[in-house]
Amino acid sequence: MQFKVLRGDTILKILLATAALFIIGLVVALAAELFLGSASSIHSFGPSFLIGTQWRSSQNVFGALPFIYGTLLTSAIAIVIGFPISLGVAIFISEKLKGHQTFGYGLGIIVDLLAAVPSVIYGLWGVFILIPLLRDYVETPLHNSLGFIPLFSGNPFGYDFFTSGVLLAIMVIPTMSAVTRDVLSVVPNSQREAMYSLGATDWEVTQKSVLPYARSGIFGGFILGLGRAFGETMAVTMVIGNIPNITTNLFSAGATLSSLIANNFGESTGIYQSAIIEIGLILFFVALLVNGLARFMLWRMTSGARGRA
Amino acid sequence: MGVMTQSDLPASISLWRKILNKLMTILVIVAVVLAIIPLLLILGDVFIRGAPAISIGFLTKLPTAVNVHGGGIANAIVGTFTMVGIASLIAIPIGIGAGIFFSEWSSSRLSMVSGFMNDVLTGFPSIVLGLFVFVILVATTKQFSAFAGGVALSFVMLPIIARTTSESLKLVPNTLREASMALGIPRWKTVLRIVIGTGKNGLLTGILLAVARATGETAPILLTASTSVYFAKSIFAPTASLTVLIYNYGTSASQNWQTQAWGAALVLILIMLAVNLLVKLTVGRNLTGKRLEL
Amino acid sequence: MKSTYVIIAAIVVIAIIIGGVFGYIALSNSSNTSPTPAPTTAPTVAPGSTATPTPTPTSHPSTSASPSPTPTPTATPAPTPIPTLAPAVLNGAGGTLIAPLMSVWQPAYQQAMSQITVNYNPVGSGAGITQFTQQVVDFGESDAPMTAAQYNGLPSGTTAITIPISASAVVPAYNLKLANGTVMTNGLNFTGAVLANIFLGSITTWNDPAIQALQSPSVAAQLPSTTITTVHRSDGSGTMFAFVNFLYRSSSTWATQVGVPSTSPSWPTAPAQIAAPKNAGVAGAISSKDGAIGPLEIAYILENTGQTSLYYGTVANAAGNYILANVSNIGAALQAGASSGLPAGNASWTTVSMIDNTYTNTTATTMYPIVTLTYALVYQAQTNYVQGAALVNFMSWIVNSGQNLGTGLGYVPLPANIVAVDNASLKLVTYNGTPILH
Repeated sequence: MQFKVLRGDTILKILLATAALFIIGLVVALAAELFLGSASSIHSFGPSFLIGTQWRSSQNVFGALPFIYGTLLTSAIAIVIGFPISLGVAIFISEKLKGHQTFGYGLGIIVDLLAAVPSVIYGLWGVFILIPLLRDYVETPLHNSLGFIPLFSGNPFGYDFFTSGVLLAIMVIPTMSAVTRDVLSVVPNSQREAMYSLGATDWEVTQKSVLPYARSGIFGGFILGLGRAFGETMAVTMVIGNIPNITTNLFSAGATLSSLIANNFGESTGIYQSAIIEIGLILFFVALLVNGLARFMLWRMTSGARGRA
Repeated sequence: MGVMTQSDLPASISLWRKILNKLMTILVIVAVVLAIIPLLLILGDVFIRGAPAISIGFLTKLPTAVNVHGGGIANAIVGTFTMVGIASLIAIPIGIGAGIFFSEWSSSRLSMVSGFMNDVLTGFPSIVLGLFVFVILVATTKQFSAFAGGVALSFVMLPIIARTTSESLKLVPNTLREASMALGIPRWKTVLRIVIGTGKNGLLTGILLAVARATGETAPILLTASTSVYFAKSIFAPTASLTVLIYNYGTSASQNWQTQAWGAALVLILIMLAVNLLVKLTVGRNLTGKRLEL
Repeated sequence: MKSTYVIIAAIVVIAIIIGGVFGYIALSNSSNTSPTPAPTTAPTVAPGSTATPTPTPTSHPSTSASPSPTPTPTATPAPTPIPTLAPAVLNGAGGTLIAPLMSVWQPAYQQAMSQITVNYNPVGSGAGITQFTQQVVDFGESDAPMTAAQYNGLPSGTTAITIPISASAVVPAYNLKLANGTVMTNGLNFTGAVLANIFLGSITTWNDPAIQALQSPSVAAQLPSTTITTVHRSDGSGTMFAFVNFLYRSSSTWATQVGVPSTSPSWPTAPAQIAAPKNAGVAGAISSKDGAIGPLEIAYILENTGQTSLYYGTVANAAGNYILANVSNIGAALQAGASSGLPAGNASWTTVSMIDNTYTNTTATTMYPIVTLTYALVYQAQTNYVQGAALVNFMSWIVNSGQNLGTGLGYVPLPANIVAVDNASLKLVTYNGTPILH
C-alpha cells in the first residue's frame, strides 16, 4: 500500500512536471530562434537599436523606441479601460446575478463569443465603425474642451493610439472577464456568508471578502488580457495608422512592435529581416519585464494579506 | 440554497455604507453596459453583413472564382475543425497538466519558472509563433500542412489553458486537500479528484477560451497551413481555414468575396456559439449547484 | 476512480503526439514531398543543391528573348503542349493583387488539365518571394521584380525565372467633399509633380493653388480648405513601388528626399498621414476620412464601384494629357513600355519598371502613366519532372490562354510582345539539363 501510494504520486508529479517543462522548453526554443535570427542586427546596431527613434528600412536605419512606446501606450490604454469594465462584468455576473442564473449564462456566453471573433473582423469593424464614432463623438469633444492637456492636444484623426487602445480594450474584455468571472464564482460561499453575518453590505462582501480571496485569479485574468493586448497584431495594424511616433498626444498615429512585424516581416530580407526579428525579441523581453513586474506586485500584495507565498 | 443575502440583514447599516453600496452597484451595471454595447455592435454587424451570404450551398460547396457567385466554404470549415482538433489534442493535455502542476506544486521552483514562462507566452504575438512553426515544420519538410497549422495553434492555446486551469484550482480551499490527505487518500488521487470535481468549471472555461482564440487566429495558420480551394487530401497538405479565408476575402477588392468573408465570420461565430452552449449546458450547469457540496 | 483513467489517457495522448511530431519531422526529411516519384534521377532533398547543371544566367541577353517589334495576336496556343502530364499539385504564394484573377484561373485551368491542382496563398509579394526562396512553394508571385538582395538570397546554384503574368495600374483615389457640399467624383486632375508635393507634405490643403491650377475653373472654385490626409500602405507592396517610382521620375525633390523607389519606401512626414495594411486598409482609411488621398490598384476601385465613397483622379502622362485609367489606356502604356525590350527570363529583372519607359514617352498620347506588371517566379532547373512539367504547362496556359479571363476584373491582358518574352522564358526551364518545353 505504502509503495503504491508513493508510485502514484511520483508518476503524477513526473507527468505534470513534464508538461510544465514543455512550456519552458517552448519559450526557450522561441527565444533561441529569435536570438539566432536577430544576431546580425544585434551585432550591427548594438544598444542604439533600442533607443533609436528613426525607422527607415530603405536606408538601413533601425530604431525600435517608437514601437516599444506604441506597444506600452496602447496596452496601457486598453488595460485602464478594459480592466475595470471586465471586473465589473465579472462581479455583475457572479455576485449580482446569483439568483438569475439563466441571464448570467446568456451574458457570459455573449462575452465568451467575442473571444472567437477573428481579429481581422475587429480590425474591419474598427476601421468602418469605431474610428468615425470615436473621432466624431469622443476625440473631437475631448480635444475642443480639454485640448490644453497634452494628451488631447492633437487634431483628432481616428487612426491613432487612442482608437487602438479602445479597440484593444474591447478585445481583452472577453478574456479578462471570462477568467475573472469564473474565479469569482469559485469563491466559497462560506466566505460571503461570514461577511454577511457580520452585517456587511453586498459591496463590502465583494470588496473585503470575494475580491481579496480571488486576487490571484483576477491577476491571472489580468495577465491573459495584457498578453492579448501586447500580442494583438492584425486589428491594431488596421487602426493605429502605422507611423512611428513618440508623443504624449493620444490622437496621433503610432505603431506597435507587433504591427511592425505584421506589416513588414513578410517582405523583409537580410539585415532588415534581422532587425524585425530583433523587434520580436524586444517584444519577448517587454513581456518578460511586464510579467516580472506584475508578479512582484502580486507577491507584495499577497505576502501582506495572507502571509503565504 | 443556503446562501445568505443582504435582504436577510437587519436595517442597522449606516447611510454612507448604503450609498456606497448603491453607487458600486450602479458602477458595476455601467461596466456591463459599456462592455455589452461594443460586443453587441460587433456581433450585430457580423450578423447583418454575414447573413445574406449564408445558404446550404455556402456551407457545402467549394470556393468558386471571384466573379462566379454561389461559391462555398465547405473546405475551410473542415480545415478549421481539423486544425483546431489537432491543436486541442496537443494543447489540452499539456496545458491542463502544466496548470495542475502550477497550482498543486505552486511553491516548487519549476512551477514558478514555468508559470512565468507561460505568462510570457501569452503575450507573444501569434505571428511569431507561426513563424517559429514555419521554421521547424514547414521550411524543413517543404510542405505546408494542417498538421503544422495545428501545432502553431496549440502554442496559442497552451498558455491560456494552463493559466486558467491553475487559477481555478488555486481557489479550491486547502482544507479540502488537507481533509482528503488526512483520510489517507494519496495525493495523486486527491489532486485528480479536485481537478475533476471542483475545478472542472474553470478547466472548461479555459479550454473554451483557448479553442475560441485558436479558432479565431489567422497569422499562425497563414504561415503554416497556407490555403487551398479544394478539400485537403491529408493533414500533410495545404489546408484552407475559415480565418485565412476571412482574412484573404475580407481584405480583397471583390464585393462577392467580402460578403463571403462576413458570411464565414458568422459561420465561425455560430460554430463557437453551438460549442459553447453544448458544453455549458451539458457539463457546466451541473457543477454550479454541486460546487459547495464537494 | 474513473478520473484516473482520464488523466492517464491524456498523458498517453501527449506521448503519442510528441512522438508523432518527431517521427513526422524525421520521416519527412527523408522523403520527397511530391506524390509521384520523378522518373529518372533520385529525388533531391537538400534545398541548396540542384541535381542538374544550371545554364549561366546572363547568357541570353535581349537578343534571343527580345520581343519582335511587330505585335502578333495574343491568342496563340501554348507553344508545344507537353504530351501527357502526370497528376500533380502545384503550390504558389505571393501578391494579393493577382489573387482574384488566380481564383478565375484555378477552375478554368482544371477544366483544361483535370489532373493538375493549383493552390495559391495570397500572402503578399515580399512573402511570396521569401517562400519561393525557401523552396516551400512551386512558384512565387510578386508585384515588383526581385531586388538584387533577393536574387543574392536564392539558394546557391539556382536561377530564378521571372515571368510577367498580368498587369494593372495605380490610381490616386480620394474622398473629398467640395465646398458646395457635393462629393467630388472621378476626374480630379493630378500631375506627378503635384502628387509628389502632396505626399512630401508641401501641399497640405485641397484649395492649394497648385491643385487648383490643374482643374477646370468650375472644379477649382469648389475645392475646399480641407486638410489633405495622405494614406499609404503600411506593408510593402508592388502598388507602392509603381506609385513612388512615378513620383521619383516626376519630381526631383522627391528623388533627393525619398530616394530610389522600393516596395516599402521611407515616406516623408506629411502633416496628416496614415499608413494602412493591404489595399483594403488603404481604401478603408481613404473612405473613412474626408480629404484623404492615397494610391490604390485600379482593380480595387473597379470591383467596388458605387459601393464606397472612393473616387479616383486622372494623371497627366508625358504628352500632357490627363488620363482616367481604363483597360485600353493601361494596355497602351504596356505596349509602349515593353517595346524597348525586356530582359531574358533568367536574367535580373531588378530594374524593370514599365514606368521607366513610359514617363518620358510623349508619342503614346493616350496611355495612362502609372502601370505595373505582376510576375510569377519559377526555378530554372526543376528537380522533379512531374512538378516541373505541370508548372511549365500551367504558366504557359496562363500566359497564352488565361489573359482574357481577367478583363472584367480590371486586369489588362499582356500585349503580344510580353507574351513572346514569356514563352521564350518558359523554354528556359529545364529538368536534368534539358528544356521541358521543346
